[in-house]
Amino acid sequence: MNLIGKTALVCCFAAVAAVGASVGIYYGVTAPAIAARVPSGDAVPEVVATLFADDAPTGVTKIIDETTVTSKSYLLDGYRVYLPDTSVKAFYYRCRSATGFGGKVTFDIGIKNDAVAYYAFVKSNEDDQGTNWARATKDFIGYDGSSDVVVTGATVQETPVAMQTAVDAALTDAKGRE
Amino acid sequence: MEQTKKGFLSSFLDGLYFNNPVLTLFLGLTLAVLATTRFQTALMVGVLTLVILFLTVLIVSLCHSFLNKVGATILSAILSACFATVTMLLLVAYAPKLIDTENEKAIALLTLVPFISTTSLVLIKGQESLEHPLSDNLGDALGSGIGFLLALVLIAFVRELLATGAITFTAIDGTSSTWTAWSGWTLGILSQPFGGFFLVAIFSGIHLAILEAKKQKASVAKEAK
Repeated sequence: MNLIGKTALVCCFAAVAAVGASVGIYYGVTAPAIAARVPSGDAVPEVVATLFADDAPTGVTKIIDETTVTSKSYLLDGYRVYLPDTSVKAFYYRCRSATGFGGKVTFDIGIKNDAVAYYAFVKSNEDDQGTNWARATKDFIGYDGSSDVVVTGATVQETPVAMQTAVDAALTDAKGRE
Repeated sequence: MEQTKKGFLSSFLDGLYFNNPVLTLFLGLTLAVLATTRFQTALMVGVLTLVILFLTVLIVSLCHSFLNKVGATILSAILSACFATVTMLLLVAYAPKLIDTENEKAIALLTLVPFISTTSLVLIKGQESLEHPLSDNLGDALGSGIGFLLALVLIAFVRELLATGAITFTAIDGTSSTWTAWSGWTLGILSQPFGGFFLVAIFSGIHLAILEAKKQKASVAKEAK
């Protein structure tokens, strides 16, 4: 083989080895190290996994002590939620609204970077109209507490306002945590 | 290719002092300007360049009988790019706080390490490896690498001190400490690219003047004999 052929062969071999070494170190060293840095916390409860299904949370830490919850509390349960994207600060809250027209609504919200990202209705003893609205609403998605939530197509008055009180409590709690 | 032999020590001193990459040959000026804003950055970039240069020259030298000049340059580029990539991956894995781009006291190695793979110093030394035997090449790579490191560190020390009045160190966990030499007046403009070029020119001028004076002295002594 002449020198040009040998040169080409050596360069090709070096290129393949260089790519192989880089890929090997990425998957063998760097990626596991990055994965290990994602805070894992405790196992993810079913309700949190369902609410944050799009984000595949890696773990949670409980932030609401159930022994401190009273009949007047807006926040019944809460978790700091760890996501693969560590730049996102996420929380889960089970909220109970203030008294609306005649009762209270219990619902779950997922907060990402200080704004409501997910909402799920749980139960209600509000009147039928308020309950139906709470069951169907998506109006809290995107709400960050900076202005009143814009309620679309609602004929109810008290239910959204009562629920907003609980959402505000959750946002205030989330913003106060690291 | 026919090889000329200079000897390990002679090659080492040549790379370190007489043909210093930054101060005499003006090789790797991009790094000399970008990495000398901080003493610690210059130190780390200098050490990484030394390691990458040495390994590149070693492998190119070992393959010299299979390479022509173009091949040596290509192989140098491939190897230095590979070593720079591996270095970055290891830094991300083991020193994430040290290179965290959101921490202003962190070291900007993720920006600077890729420049090591493209610096003229590594590419030219890799290409020149065909012209000398292995021991000479290793001596030259070590000398040039250490010479490059010392030049960077010297420039960075003066530059950071004059620009900020202090020298800042960042630990691997991202915490930083500062040694303040004085407060009050500083020459902030030296932290700009102008400062890098200005100080490279100053130190290079001093270095070349010393070399020239020695040369003239030797010449006079020779004539006197």
